[in-house]
Amino acid sequence: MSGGRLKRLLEALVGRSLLAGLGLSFIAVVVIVALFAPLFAPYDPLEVDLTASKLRPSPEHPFGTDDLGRDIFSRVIYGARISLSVGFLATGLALLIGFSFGLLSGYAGGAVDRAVMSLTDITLAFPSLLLAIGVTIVLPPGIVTVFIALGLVGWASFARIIRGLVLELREKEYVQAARSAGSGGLGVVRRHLIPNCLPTVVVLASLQVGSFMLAEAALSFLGLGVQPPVPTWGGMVNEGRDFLLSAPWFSVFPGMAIALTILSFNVVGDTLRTNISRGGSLGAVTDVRRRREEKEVLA
Amino acid sequence: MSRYVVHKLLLIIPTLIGVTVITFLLLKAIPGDPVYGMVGPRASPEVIEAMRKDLGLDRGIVVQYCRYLRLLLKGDLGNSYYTGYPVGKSIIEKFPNTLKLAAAAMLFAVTLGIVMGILASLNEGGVIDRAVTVVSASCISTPVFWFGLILILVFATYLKRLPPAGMGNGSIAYLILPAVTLGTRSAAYIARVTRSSMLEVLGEPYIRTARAKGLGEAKVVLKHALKCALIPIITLIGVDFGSYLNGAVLTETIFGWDGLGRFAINGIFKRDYPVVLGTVLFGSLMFILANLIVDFIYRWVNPRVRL
Amino acid sequence: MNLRFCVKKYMRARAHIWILLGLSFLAAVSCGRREPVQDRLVVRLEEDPSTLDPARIVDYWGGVIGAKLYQGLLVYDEKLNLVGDLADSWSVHDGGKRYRFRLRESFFSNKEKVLSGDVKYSMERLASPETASPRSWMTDPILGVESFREGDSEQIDGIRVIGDRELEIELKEPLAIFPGLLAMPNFYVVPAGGCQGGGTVGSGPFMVASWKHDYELILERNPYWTGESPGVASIEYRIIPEDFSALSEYDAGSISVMEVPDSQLPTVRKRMPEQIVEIPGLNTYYIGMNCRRPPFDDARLRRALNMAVDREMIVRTLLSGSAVVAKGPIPPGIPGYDPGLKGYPYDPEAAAGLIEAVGWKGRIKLYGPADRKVLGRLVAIQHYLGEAGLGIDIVQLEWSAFKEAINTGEADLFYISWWADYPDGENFLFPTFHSSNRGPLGNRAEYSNPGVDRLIERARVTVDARKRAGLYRDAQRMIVEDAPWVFLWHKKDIWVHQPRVEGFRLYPVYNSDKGLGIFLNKKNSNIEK
Repeated sequence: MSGGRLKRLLEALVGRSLLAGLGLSFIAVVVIVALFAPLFAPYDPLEVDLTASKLRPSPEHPFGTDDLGRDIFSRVIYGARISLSVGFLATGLALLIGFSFGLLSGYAGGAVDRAVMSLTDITLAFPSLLLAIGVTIVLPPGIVTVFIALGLVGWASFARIIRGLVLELREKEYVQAARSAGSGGLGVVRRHLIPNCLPTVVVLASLQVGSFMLAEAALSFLGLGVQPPVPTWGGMVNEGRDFLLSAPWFSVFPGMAIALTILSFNVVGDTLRTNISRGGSLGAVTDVRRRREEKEVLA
Repeated sequence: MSRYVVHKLLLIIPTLIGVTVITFLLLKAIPGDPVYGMVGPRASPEVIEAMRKDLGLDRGIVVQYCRYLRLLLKGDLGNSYYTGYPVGKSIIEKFPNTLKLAAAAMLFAVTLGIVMGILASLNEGGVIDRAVTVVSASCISTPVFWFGLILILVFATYLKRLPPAGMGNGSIAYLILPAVTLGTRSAAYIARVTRSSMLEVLGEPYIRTARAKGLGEAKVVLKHALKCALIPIITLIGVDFGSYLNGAVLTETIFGWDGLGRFAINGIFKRDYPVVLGTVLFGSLMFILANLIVDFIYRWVNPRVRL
Repeated sequence: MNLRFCVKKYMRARAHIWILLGLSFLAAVSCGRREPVQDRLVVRLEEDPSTLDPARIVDYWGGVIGAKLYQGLLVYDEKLNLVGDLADSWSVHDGGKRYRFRLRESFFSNKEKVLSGDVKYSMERLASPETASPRSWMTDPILGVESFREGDSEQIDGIRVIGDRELEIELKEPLAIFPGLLAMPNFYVVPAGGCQGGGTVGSGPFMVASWKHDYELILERNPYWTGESPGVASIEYRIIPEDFSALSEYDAGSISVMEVPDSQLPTVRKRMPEQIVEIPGLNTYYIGMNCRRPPFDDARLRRALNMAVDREMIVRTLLSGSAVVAKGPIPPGIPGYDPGLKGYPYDPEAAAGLIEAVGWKGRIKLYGPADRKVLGRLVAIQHYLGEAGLGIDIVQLEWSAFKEAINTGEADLFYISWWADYPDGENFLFPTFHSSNRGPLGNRAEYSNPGVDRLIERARVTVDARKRAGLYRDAQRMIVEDAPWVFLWHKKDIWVHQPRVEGFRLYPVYNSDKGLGIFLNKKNSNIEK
């Protein structure tokens, strides 16, 4: 990536917002810590030591230890790996499915459109958390299962928005011109539709990462998804639930990690949305729309 | 308009059938035979076979599905495998609890959200505006289950002001924490939407006219601007309310709230197929209806809007 | 958007919106507070008992509540003696083959008198394939059960009604523990000809007043109960799934008695030590090993696992001292328990040496139910086995999937517990280690040792209790030597009760408590809000 482009990207991500700057830096820190977790974690996150059970936060154990004597700080650091990878991979999958279906539906129209849209309607009507839980239980437990489950649940909102966008674009003069000039269907899709959808897709994706991370945490909280003893933030909050009265630090720190990371993604996503829509025409991703598609996965 | 309504209502049926097909396929693919969960620690293979036959689980999946549809046509959702209690009856019993929680959560969300949104819009770029932005972003980013636990820790354990969980004897005190937990996300979204649509409206010429006429600021804001800004907020309320009605799984789990969400998830964990099918079907119906109502209101308020 | 238009439309829409909002508010506040009920014992339940139909009860709470609603012929008292429940007196004939019972005068909560025909009906109902009861095996020892099940006979010939209040039961062969079986919830008596209206009509001191599933179950006195009058007017079982919220509710005084969850035990011990009541529980927690397949067909490896896990440490930390370390399958307090049993002390070096000698290199899956309380224990066990040189992966499954995995023999290594149905060593040996019970009948370790089989068979027909206990001890030593289980611990029963609750006792057998001796002291009634 050339220096100029990087600068433009940064500008779009952060703009002049201090908050977004903080958010982006926090994400960078989390990503680096997750990538090089062994360098940052003071202890092995899986190391059980029953003699060190339920220690309060202290200089040796900044976040304390859990009932098995594992260092919570180290577990939070390793937990970032699961959260981030599920967030990104699930977004990728949902985008892939949603984008393809949306394009197909919007461009082809007719029976294809109706078929795709009824599938979308069914998916959206489904209580999403229950659907995600169902898929998670069906597939063998593990991180792949989690992102597949979330991707399968989350694609429908993308598909709807992309379809709407394509319908709009299809009527645009330059697309009409390209079609009447005899450009093949694929050519139009590639040259005109996809590039024009991209900004929306980027904004959607940036806002979606956080939602998927929350959903992963929710699944882990319910004891599903990535299998223990691999540390996940949601799983740690869940394991600490019974000790809320006697050792609140079990749940408090991992929960803060989730909240701060997702806050960063949301702040950056919001800024991106504002900046991009200022530049181009982007009414599609309003808060109403977003909330409408996000539904109760997180309730 | 009425043709549109009828068309939309008819569309519900195939969607719901699709929902049952997916649920059925998922349930059959899930590992774990419900019968094993029901028998005690000592059960002979013959008994297990007999119980499976009793529940109709020994038949092929198509037969089982047709049986279920036939039952549905009779308006019956079947009985729970474990308790033998009719699922439809359970849903009717638990729905008021879910409704109560959803209503309280919405009430909280609307009040807080609109107030925050208005304050922010009047103070565009100022301290309050920025505070509202940060707070609402935080609320959207905080996991519901964790937020609920923290609320319990603070208000029930440390301050001892509110009961931690359960539904008590139906007193309001028990409703507060779950409602706040559930409603916070909605409040944040409502605040954001209120802010942005208020800003849009406040810039309109007729507001300037109203101000120029010398109307009081409060009157201008509340009576003229807010009225128009409310339309997208109504959409949001409708959608959120609809999704809360099919059960807030996490909130109900944490607070031991006896609603549809907890009922459904326990059904999944126990492989109680009729319970899962019934609650999913009911939940989907609620969600679709809430969305339709929002659609209709929207169209009726502004016929030119195409959703 | 055309704003003037929007305003006009809005004015029309407004009324509806306010109605909507108003309604939601009304819905939120309309349910007023209910007055607390006088003289009611409130007990916390973690989840709904799945059924109160005696033929289908398989869970602990089903039995606990069933004991208050129904009567069986016999019941265990707190010293583990069998005493009459419905039976006034009984006698044993033909060396333990024939039992004769005289019933006392009792009434069902529907005012009907309990007759010996009801007892016979209830037993046949339990045995019948139509009922599809998971516990129909309990009727297996009775003469003529097979031909009844196959439809060759209208009734079970071994159960004979002699008079309105007299009854005889004949077995195929003497079975020492049969009277113990009769005390189990599944043999509770229901009115012949079926129970109308929900099927919870019994002759116990209480009856079901209302049951809101997953929320609360309320029992009230059976007006036709003729025995000792219960000390409380009603019992409310309140379902509170979360442990910490249950404890907070207890603190607030809205629960009278509750079982103390392990995670809350340190807090409770510190804050209200004098409110705690505890007794040893009749159960054994263990890790089963599939003895039929490599790697656990090698007894050396099974012994190594027993030595590798530091159970003392786990009990002290993770279980907060709420259990005693197990040395063998039979828990203390049960005939057949052997205080002289050595078991396997924690010896990591010896374990590592044995594991190295066996030379198993593959990773092994440790199955457990998907329960966050179990998870910590699984991880600790994984840790200890890892230190001894065995690579373990934890597989947590939902209860029914877990049961399927261990019943079909898919699991090589699994964490589970065994609870007494009746307090006799037989219950911890025959179902769990006899080779005829391999698989879902209870012997999930697929253990088979002809010598052990013979000892257990002999003990089953030995009516003399002391001789029987000797046979149990011998069998147990052989089993511990073969080590088909990692014997973990015996969990204690630990409860707290409010100061105003008097006469609260724990019974070793879960369905002994008829809810009679407990009452609420009215002087302190202001504590309970």
